[in-house]
Amino acid sequence: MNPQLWHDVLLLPLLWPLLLALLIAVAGSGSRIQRWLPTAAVPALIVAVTLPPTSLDLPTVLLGAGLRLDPTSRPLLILTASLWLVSTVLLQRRHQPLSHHDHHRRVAVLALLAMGGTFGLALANDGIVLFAAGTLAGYALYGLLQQGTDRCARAAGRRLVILLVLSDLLVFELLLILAHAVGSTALAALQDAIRASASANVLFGLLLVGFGVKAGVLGAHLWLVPAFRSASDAVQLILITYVAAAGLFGWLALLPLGSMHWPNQGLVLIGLALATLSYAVLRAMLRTDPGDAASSLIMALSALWLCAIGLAIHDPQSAPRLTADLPLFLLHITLAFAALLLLRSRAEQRQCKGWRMTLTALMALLVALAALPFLRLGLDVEIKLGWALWWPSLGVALLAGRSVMQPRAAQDQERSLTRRSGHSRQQTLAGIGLAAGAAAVAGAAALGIAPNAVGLAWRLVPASHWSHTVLDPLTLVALISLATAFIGGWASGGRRARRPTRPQARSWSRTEGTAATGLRLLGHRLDHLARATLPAWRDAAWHGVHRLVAQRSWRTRLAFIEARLTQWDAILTILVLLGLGIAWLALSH
Amino acid sequence: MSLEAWIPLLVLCSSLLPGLMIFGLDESRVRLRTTLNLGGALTKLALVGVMFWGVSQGIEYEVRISFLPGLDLALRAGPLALLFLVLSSLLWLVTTIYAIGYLEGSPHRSRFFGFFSLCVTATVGVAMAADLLTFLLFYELLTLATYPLVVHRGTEVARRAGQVYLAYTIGGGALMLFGIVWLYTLTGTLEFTPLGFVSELDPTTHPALILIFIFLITGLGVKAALVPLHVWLPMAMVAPAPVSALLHAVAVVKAGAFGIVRVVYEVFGVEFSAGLGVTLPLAVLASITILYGSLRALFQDDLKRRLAFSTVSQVSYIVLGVAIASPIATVGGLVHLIHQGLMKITLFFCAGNLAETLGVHKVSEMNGAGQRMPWTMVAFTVGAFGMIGAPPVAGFITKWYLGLGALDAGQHWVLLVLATSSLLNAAYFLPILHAAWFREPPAQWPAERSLGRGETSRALLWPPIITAVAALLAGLLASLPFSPLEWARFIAEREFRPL
Repeated sequence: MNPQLWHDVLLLPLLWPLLLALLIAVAGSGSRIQRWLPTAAVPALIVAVTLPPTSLDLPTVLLGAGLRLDPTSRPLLILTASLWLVSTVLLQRRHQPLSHHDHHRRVAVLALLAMGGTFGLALANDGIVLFAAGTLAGYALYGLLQQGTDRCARAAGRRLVILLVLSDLLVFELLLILAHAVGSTALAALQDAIRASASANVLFGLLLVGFGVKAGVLGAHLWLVPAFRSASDAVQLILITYVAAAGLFGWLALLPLGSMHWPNQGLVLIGLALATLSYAVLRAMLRTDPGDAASSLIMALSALWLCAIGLAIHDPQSAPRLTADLPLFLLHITLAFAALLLLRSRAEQRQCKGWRMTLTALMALLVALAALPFLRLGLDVEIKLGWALWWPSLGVALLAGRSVMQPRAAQDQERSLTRRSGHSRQQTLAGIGLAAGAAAVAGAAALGIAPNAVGLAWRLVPASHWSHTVLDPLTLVALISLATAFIGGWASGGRRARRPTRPQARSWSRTEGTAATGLRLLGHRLDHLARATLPAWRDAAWHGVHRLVAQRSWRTRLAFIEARLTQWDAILTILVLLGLGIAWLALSH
Repeated sequence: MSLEAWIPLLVLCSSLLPGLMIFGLDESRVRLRTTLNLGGALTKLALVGVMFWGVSQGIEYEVRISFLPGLDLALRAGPLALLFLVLSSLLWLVTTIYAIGYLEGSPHRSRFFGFFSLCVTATVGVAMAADLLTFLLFYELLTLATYPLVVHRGTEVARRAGQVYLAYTIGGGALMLFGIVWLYTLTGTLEFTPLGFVSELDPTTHPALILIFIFLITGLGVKAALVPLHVWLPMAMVAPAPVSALLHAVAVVKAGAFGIVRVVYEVFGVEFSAGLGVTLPLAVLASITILYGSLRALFQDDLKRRLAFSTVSQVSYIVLGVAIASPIATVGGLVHLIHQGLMKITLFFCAGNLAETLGVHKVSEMNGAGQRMPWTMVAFTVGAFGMIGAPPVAGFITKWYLGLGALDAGQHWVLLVLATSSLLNAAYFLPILHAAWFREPPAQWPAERSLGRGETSRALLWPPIITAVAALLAGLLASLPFSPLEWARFIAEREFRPL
């Protein structure tokens, strides 16, 4: 085969979904082309599994774009392609009986655009492609969430788009600063710029909010929770893909882990990760909706990831051990998580405890096991602040265990299960397929080997530093801890909690007028802010503190805190405090 | 005369002659009028294509016609002129097609298309002007040619808008004339020269030069809609959609912005301007205009009015790029001349389609418009995302270069302006997209008409699709040879200083 073809083939995962989107859009309603939807992810999967490590320069695209397939990007491409393959199959099934062809067409086009975006994120070799792909995927996901009839999903979409605009703006500024410093937009050059930068606090702040929104960290999670609660199974898988590709992978792509030293910023990231995890656990414990459990689990996954990144930038010495296998970890946990979602949903629909429940439990166990290497590293005294990994690792196991029992508790809920139409044997099969993939990755990690592509010489994932074949005392302790957390989560899964009511969203009226009326209106609003809104916030804050103190039990106090944390003002307060913290760090150094 | 001298004249005549012929045509001669319109537009495009190739090979097209002792009507097509020429000739063709569909069956079409052609003649004259006097002549001709288009509908509101437009632009022209005469008395020449022609003057003339700069920029700032000289622009949106497109994307505001580019770079010279201390105030003024325009757009329910305030904001990106006085920012400013044109014309075409087909004029009436007119709204979405600066649409490239240029020049505050502007752009464009795509359409549109078999007539549908695709490709393939970005870099390297 012509060597140049190997490079050009890298374009296929991006071009095929986008071309299909164009064809479906042009072909009109009810066209047969829509049946090709499940094929959209196939080239990406083939490329991810069979293509040797390669890169492709596209000097005429954007400002000189580049794609690459390397040990870091390959697991992400496998992951995104697998999840997209399943999602598109489910989307196809879900919409087949519907007579609204236009609706199906819109969903298909948006899904394909989001798919192209996530593949772009996986393959990006320069900052502009990374940014463009993230933007495309984000806005397409917003469109997908808006296609649902569920008001909660639509609200989630609206929140996502607001946060997305902010996030993209900050990522844009970040890339601008880095590109100006090194005169290039290639990821390797941007990493050099980060390494050499004297304004670490600014860069860290931009990174944190820029990618934090997409990863659903505490403070920027407002879109993630309602999106998971109301989305269909297919869209839930797309959400996982988006969080992994746009939120988590961005850190790995931009940060030169192991050769940078940001001790304070590392601490802030660890703190945020622990807070995110605490919130996720709190939320999962207080609610029994399966969607809540899923969103909590993905937040816990984000927390674990950010904690590892935080430790790596805090202590570059231990960075290689902490981050070398992050792509493998992401592949393992997200495949297992996706399989868990599908199988649990199927078990939930059939209300059975048979083999599907067994499979669900196994998948939950697989999710929990993904945290084992981190807990093992956390117990290692050589890793500075390694204890910070305990709580996220145990949190993941706890939430995974709890998610097994979630369906039984959820059966009593008033929420109808009819929102998940289109359940089928295909869903079970897809779940089993993903489960097999996750188990293969987990097995390979356990054996300490990097699985090779079928019959080919190159490795799908980087060589693993984790070998669990030797059950040393620390691994044993980690395993026992995880098992305890998992069983604890399982045991707590049957409980029910009252879901706090949510306040009505405030509606803003649109006003038309001249400059004078516009300024007058602005004046009125500022006046209203000073005279009414700010005092009202102050009173509400005091009232909140009083009510918190007046609660009879810790359980109701926790429920109260959790309800507050879902409101905008609380989120803004957290963001402001975070900003102040970063500013304090900046000033103190 | 050589071929190089004839071609600029032919470019002028390719719209002037059809325009004069169209004036004499009866209303019923639709086919002949259409042939003249499209024939002129295609001829101009072909001639500009020839010049584009020639200039890229190092040929300069120049012609001088003496009309007063010591004063010539001088036309020259260099790289900078070509940038504006390509934009105006390309978009003229698209706008003509759109206008033919838009005005089908309406009265006074011969008058409309006659002035339309004159307007484009003036615009290409502005682009090719080799000195300030020629520039002023075509600049004023542009004012006179566009006035009848603004008042074309003949309503009281249109006449009032026309009066305001005339008052502002003629006032601006008078200031320019004053500045030009004063400058001529100091220098004895008005010839546009790379790196400027005033830098050699005695330092005692510098206060006078600052005043001349203010006169010229104020005169040009009227058409470029710099705050507080922008008032005429939102009022002029009462004109038909093709005229709005022409005003906002092709001719008038662009002529103002292009004039500022000429004055800063080829009259004063960018480094000399910075030395005089006039570029920073210009950058601040452009920033204020950017933010003010976006803020005002936020509160408009009338779609075209919202787009008009968006133009006020977006055109100042060009001025900002010039005023930052950095080569990289220059590229950003120059390339936005093309990018803003492509994106804004798309938006105005779409607004026209919505108004003509559904009777939708307000943002609050746009619920579900994407379901009724999907392709129009796809084009609108591309344009809107471009304005926000989302990649890979062309607007992203502009913002990237402006940001890099600001960092390069050490003017970090510009990043804040760009970020705030992007945020505001998103705040006034995304609600439109949300309403159009994700809200349920009303049971009945305000004034729905059936125009053709598709969502609207082909003449109305294809122009926005073509310009939207062009805006997308201008961003996606920004580094392709002869792309707007590469051409802007070529200008910056060749006419100013090496990057």
